[in-house]
Amino acid sequence: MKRLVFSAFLALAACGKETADVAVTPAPPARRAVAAEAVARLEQQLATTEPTAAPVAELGEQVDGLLATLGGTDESMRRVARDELASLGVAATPLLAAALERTDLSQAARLGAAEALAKHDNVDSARALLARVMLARRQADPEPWMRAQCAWRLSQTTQDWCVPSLILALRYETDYETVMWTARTLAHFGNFAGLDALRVIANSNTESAPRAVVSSNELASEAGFNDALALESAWIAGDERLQGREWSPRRELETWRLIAGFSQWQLRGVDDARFVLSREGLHCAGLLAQALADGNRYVRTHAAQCLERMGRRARVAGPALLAALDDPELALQAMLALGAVGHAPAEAELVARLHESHALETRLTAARALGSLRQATAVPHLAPLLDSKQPYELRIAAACSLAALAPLELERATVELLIGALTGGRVESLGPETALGIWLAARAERYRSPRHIAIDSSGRRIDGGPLDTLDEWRAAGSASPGERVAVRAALLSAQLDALFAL
Amino acid sequence: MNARAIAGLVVLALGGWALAAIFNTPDVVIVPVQFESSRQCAECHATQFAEWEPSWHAQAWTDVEVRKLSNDFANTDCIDCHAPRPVFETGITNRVLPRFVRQIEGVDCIACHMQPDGRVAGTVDNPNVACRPVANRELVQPDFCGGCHNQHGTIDQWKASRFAQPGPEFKSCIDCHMPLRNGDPAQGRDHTMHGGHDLELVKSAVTFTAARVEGVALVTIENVAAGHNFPTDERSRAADVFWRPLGEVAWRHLYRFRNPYRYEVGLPNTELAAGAKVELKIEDEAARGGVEVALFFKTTPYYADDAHPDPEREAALLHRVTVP
Repeated sequence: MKRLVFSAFLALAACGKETADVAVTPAPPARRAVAAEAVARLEQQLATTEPTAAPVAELGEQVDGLLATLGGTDESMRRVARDELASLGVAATPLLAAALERTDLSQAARLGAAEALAKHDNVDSARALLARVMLARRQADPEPWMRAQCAWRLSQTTQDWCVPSLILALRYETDYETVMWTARTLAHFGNFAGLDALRVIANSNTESAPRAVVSSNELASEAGFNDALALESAWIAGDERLQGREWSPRRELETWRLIAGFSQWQLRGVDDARFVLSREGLHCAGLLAQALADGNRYVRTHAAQCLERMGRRARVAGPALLAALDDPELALQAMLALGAVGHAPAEAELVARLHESHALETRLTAARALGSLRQATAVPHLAPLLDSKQPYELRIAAACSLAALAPLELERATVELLIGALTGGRVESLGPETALGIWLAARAERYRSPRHIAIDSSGRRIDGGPLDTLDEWRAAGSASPGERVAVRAALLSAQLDALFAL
Repeated sequence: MNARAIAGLVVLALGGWALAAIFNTPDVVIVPVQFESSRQCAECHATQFAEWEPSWHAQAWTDVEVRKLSNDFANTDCIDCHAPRPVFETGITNRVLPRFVRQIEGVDCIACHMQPDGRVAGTVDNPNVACRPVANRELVQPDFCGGCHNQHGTIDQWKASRFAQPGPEFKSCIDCHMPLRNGDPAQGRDHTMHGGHDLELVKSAVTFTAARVEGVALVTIENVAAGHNFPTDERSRAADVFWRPLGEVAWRHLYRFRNPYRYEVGLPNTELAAGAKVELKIEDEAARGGVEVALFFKTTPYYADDAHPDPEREAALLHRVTVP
């Protein structure tokens, strides 16, 4: 009897609510502190390989005497003094570094000190020159000519580790002369980030403009290109001819320090690091690719951001970015970077993430990345996202990418969708604006005759056609942002019938 | 065992099963809302949404000044704070990171309230409504705001102030910037995000007095009510002390409270710390007679003509006193 009752209770218990199995989520794989380890390894390596000498007391008088000679008028004596300063060796470096700042010395003496430091060509001498270049970041500096001089002198050394700091100098430097010499020195070390600054100066209405043009063209010629534009295009595209020399361990150390700095709280350092690293070349892209495996989320994220900003120049990081799609904290940024670097094998993974089983943010990011990837094979996968049942922001992202991939195939409804996005206030307008600009330029180019006027299929000139519309579109570019968008939206709305009648 | 006993057990079993069926009601299946826009919150939280929508959090992406300074967010560094990922995702004491969706909504409901588990942080636990709110006290902690607002040390400034000390004077960020509606906890907190654009709030942060001491006009500004520096956070903000002889029109600049931009290397940080006081003497000959002294506030630091600033046209008046 008791057994029967007990069995009955067991039977009742068995009818109770099912409980779901507790899912066991596997722990993510342990990550290493890739950046911190690289910094430690290189610091140790450099600590054991580079000796420094302590300054000798008697040198002070000798250096002072030689500097005073440089301030004299006898050219032959000045030549001797310059040669002697250069021959003094590392022990004199601190004295020469101090001489850069001594306002009791003549300009000629201080310039001579800079020259001697360059000839010493060691870490400490370059550090002194670099500190002078960077002075304006820390305090008001009434002697920009000294900064320019030191920037130039660094190009006469082999101290490539200065490159990151010189790139950073471009961010803050306001003296055009110093900027131009910094750009030249960067080019000497195989980095052409200064071309952008030279272009800005060349287009300025200042007396430095002509020299900036000359400087750009000289750099292009030295690098084997026809002109500055060709050189800059090649640099942006990551042309193999511009890979530069092999990096020194100290340059790698400076770069890894910046990467490790991504984990810091204060954004000033992070912003500076992003600025520098996104203007580096192929070798840096390799280091950033390694950093995608770092244990710190911020190191990984900002490394991926830098790769995105480098664009095609960072294509070597493609495989590492593809692997990063498995990192939920990094996947979105990795997608954008894959598109920007142009890693074609990523297309399948990006297309897969368009599926509605993914979160909206994932689908949106994948759609944008496919636009940057520039693979026309993505068009059939993006087109269905234009459907009105899709989330609005996703439709716009797909439309923007389709405009980038196949502008001449855009249907009227898609163009109208993009025009509505310009002023609708539901999504950021910059993407649609850029997309419409691409579309309009493509249409204008299609109907451009050899005489650069728009003609229809029977050869008749079209007035008010796509070329004129494109001209008006571009003219609106100088207006204030809100006005510009409104003008462009109105322009296209008014011209849409004509543009699609062609 | 006889038949009666067996029948009794069967009845017992059936009765037990019937009881279980009656009282073991199936869970109400709540389909959690997939939030794609903070506008979805407006359906149930109309008051909070209506307060937030015109706020500077909502305008973090669209504000004209922000668009200008960031070059329409071509400077993508700015996106981290102006369209942040949910703070609970990146972590309370961690720096925010940029999001890639609904950027136009700026610092929106989802950025502050969305938890990684898909539930919404709030003041009550209720798994039976669509957004499945869960009470989360971290929302009220200053470090919650710090992910964005401690870049220039605002939360650190608060921690150093008397308002961070336990006791009757304790006030955290939300006590001033998201006060209780009508002072009533039951009515929840105002989501207008009063801050540097609320002139009454800015005005109340400092006292501004002036007197003649030994013949010299002495102006005293004291940060009595702000739990942080005055001004704080954005380096674009400036508070200027101007004066002019009675009867004159042109203002003369005396002092500026501001934290300069990183590239303004020659300028010191003159923000007035919480609880601190500054005394300024007007030693100009023209100030020997009666003067008018005023404190103006700007959200952008530069005047059209630095040599002849016009604060009445280009800034907002906070305080004005006359010294005979």
